[in-house]
Amino acid sequence: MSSIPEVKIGLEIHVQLTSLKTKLFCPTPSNYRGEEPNTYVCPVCLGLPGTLPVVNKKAIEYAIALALALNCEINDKLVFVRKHYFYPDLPKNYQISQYDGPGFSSIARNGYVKIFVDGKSKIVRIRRINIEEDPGKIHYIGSIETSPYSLVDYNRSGIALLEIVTEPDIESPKEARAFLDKLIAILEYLGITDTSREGAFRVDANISVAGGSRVEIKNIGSIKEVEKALTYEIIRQKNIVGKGGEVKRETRHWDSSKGVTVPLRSKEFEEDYRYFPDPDLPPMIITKTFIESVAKSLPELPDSRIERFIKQYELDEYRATVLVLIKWLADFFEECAKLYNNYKKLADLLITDFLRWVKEFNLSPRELKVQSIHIVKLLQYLDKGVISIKMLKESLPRIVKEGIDIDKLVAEGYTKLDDEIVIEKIVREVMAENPKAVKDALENPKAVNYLVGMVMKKTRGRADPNKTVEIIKRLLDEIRKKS
Amino acid sequence: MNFIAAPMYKLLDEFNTNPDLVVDYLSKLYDRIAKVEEKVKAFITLRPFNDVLNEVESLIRIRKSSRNSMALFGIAVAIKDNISTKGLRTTCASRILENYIPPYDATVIAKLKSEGAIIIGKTNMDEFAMGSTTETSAFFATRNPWDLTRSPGGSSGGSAAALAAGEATVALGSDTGGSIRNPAAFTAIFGLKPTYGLVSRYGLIAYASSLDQIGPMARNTDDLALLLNVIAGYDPKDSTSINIPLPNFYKAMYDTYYREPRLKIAIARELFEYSEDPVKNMSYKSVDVLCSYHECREISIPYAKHSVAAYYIISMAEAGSNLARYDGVRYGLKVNFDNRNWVEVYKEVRTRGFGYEVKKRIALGAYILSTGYWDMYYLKALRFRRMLKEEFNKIFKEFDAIVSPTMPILPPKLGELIADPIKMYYSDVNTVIANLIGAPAISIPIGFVNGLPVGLQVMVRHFNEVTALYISKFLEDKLKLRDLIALV
Amino acid sequence: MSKDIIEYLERLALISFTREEREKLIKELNKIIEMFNLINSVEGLDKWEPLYHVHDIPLTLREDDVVEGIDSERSILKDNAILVEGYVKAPKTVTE
Repeated sequence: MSSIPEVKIGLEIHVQLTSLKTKLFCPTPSNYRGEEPNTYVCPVCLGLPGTLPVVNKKAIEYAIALALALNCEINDKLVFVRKHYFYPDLPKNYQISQYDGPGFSSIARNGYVKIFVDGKSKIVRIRRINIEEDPGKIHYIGSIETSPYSLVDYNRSGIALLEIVTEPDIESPKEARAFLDKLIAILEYLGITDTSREGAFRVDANISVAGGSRVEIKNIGSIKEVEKALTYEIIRQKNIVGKGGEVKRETRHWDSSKGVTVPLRSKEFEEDYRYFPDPDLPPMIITKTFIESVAKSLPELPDSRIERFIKQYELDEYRATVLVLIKWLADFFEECAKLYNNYKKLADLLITDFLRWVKEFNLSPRELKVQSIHIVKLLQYLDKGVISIKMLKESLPRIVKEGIDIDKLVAEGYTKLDDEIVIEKIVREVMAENPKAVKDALENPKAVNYLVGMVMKKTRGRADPNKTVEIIKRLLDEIRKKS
Repeated sequence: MNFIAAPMYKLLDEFNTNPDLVVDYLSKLYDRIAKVEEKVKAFITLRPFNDVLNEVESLIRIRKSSRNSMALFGIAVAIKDNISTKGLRTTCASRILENYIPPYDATVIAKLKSEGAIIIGKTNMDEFAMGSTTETSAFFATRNPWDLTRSPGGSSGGSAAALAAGEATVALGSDTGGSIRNPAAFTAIFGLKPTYGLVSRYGLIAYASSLDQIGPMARNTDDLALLLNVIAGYDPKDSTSINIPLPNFYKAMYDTYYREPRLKIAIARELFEYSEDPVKNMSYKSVDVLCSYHECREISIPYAKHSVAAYYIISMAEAGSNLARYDGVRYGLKVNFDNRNWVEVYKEVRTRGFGYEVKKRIALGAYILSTGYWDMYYLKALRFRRMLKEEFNKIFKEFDAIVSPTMPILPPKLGELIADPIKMYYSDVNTVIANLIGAPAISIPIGFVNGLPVGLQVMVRHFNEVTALYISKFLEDKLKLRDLIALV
Repeated sequence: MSKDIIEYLERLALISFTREEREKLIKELNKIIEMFNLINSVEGLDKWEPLYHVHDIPLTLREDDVVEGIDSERSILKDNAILVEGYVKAPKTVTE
């Protein structure tokens, strides 16, 4: 029997449809971020008496697009229900949502997402997708405890949300991360949301270890935080089980500043949401034609692009996955690939050093100065032996940051030194300056590397490494013969 | 010209030739209101005459300067106080909305305004339309102009009383289980609950969304049809409103009236049987008038009493949900928020803001929808609702109309019915069916018993308002009961 | 219908009844529940699908076009809510 308890993680993700121009049930603009409180509102999203919801068509199209992308079964009837609970951020004191139960159903069910972790593919099943309205946002004067009252901003109220719920198929924080990376990539490919916007992507996690109850962790802000919170929570739960204790079924909160989960105050009152179909909204019949029209407008999605990359560019699944999940990088790769056909070499450069520098300089992928031609030329010069790999790595940061044409550098003399006479001259200089190193090298062939390094230093990496080694060896031999 | 009792269609003719007459008309009307309102108490909010006058003066200028005719130019309309009027207090006769000023107009109000109607005030009602006597109003009870010791019915009792007392020319009410027809019958006026979805509910403060409809109230059939013409029609702001081509109801009613087709009319046996003798007898008399020309047959109405149960289950469930939004934060009754938890504050707002009948229906609504009872009551009531609709579809395959007394009782003494809520609920037995199945139904004055009005209800097929109006016009012609105003 | 259920409903719906109201309520509720139970005496109901909307009309959808403008004056809220620097004042969400 294995001593390590099995881990089960299910995720519940709320995604705002930030690409919509208006809210879910009213024609009020949805680009509320950074705006004055309570100015992006209308009678409907404030829940004023007598107002009625009217459904945004595009929101339904987006929901169906995601359902298709997540391989879900789409229900032929969309029923909006009211979910009742009182809270100051909820204008009607009920939320218009969907309910997956007898007689009702979510917009889509039973999908799956393929993830790739540690060299293996795996399926995470999607239980359901719901479409619902976001509540407003509560602010406090000072802390939540000491604020004498709450301050509500209803600008967010009524923004369209998709709720995506997975089955508990995820078995490690790493898999959770891979799943979320994939989901975000899918959302980005669909163009229905910009997950980088504040509050546009929120995750709740359900987690249990063998022998323990399910614990819910609420409202984790980013993928990195999800990974940390899950890692912490697994250790916490395993410790309890390991000591023969009992993991309580509860809801916890992730305190990212302290890096711990803490129990949320247990509710003194168990809500009964009293779901029932919203009498203000007749059911929507989702026809095959409607689904087909959405399907037709779907862009290429990550899975098929990964497959295509494997076929068209003969990449392995790992490289294809890494590239494709970063959409702009995959796009950049394809631009380069039109002009350069050592795809593996190209992919490696892009997913390692290139990506590292983009991140290092905190560049916006949409505003990169570097163009595909710059990278292609760089690789071509490398292939032709005009520059060394070391020179490529050395010049890459500047090229990524400033978009410098490598032609210009080469014309200015930034080329690999392969003139043997010149190299020999430098080698002789180095040997003259480092007699001790020469002595070592004569006895120990491995010490030759030091001399090579010194030559490289002197030539700022431009000397052809093979020729340099050859020349050093020849000169060392000459010394041996002489002695 | 007697501006107070004049039918709207005649006033419109007069104002068309002489727009300035509107000022005389309104001042006479306000004189009448000053004389009778204290006794009747039809209005929660009456607009000051000067405000109305200013509005009318600019309206007259517009009328004179443009060729555009307006379908309701200069007509004083009373509006039930659950229909949102921009800038004009809208209370639902509840403390919780006592100071609520809507920032927008209901679709029907926007339509009335664009046709030149003058909204003179907001009429009393049962709190949130929950009641059948206008006595659950948080402010005061309205009295029946025909007998001030009696109720005008409800919940649109203020609108009905205003018409019967000559305080307005036409009015709007709302009908969830009979709230237009009941007070119409008790005050000898005409009231129509249209097909569900014919009139936009946008701006109607919801009681039970799947049953609520706004409808016209008037002192004769012509005015009823003219008012319906203005308020009916598809509204993209109401997802339950129906997008179909509509006739000109007034014209279509007259076309039918002149053709005078013989209709097949069903006499709803049980709905007569459940009624008090004076009501029953008076109703049969009017049936005789109908049957002297039309083809009548008595039929059995299935499940009449069960309909009352289904109606209350569904309406309370929806009401509990619709009334959740009243928490005193964005609008409505304010209490101290400082250093107090929202649960405590909401409970105080809702307890102080809602009257007993409303709280009762909210509590029962929560009960009906809560886990365990959902299947037992709510789901059953909805299954019943479908069965009932199918049963009536069958009846309507054979018959053009189903007639019954509108109310099984005469206008009750104030305090009498409200003291016995079960009796009050069962008094809706004849009216709730139309709401459950979504069909149009009209109440037509047919006579008086000891000075107390009796109304006949005619229920017709979906979107067949014209047939209901035709029967109304037919009876009005024969019985000569029209443009009645109580002496007060 | 018991006192416990009434207390539960009071919490669920955030309302409360006075003692007199509660006594009256208990009496009335028994009759009302009796009326509700009439629905359970109808035979063969299970073969009917529940009717949520009287018309079998499909939902009409709205295009994603901005119609309502931006309410920079907060004219919708200003007559009815308490505004503190543009925020709507509400009770506390947490108390000790």
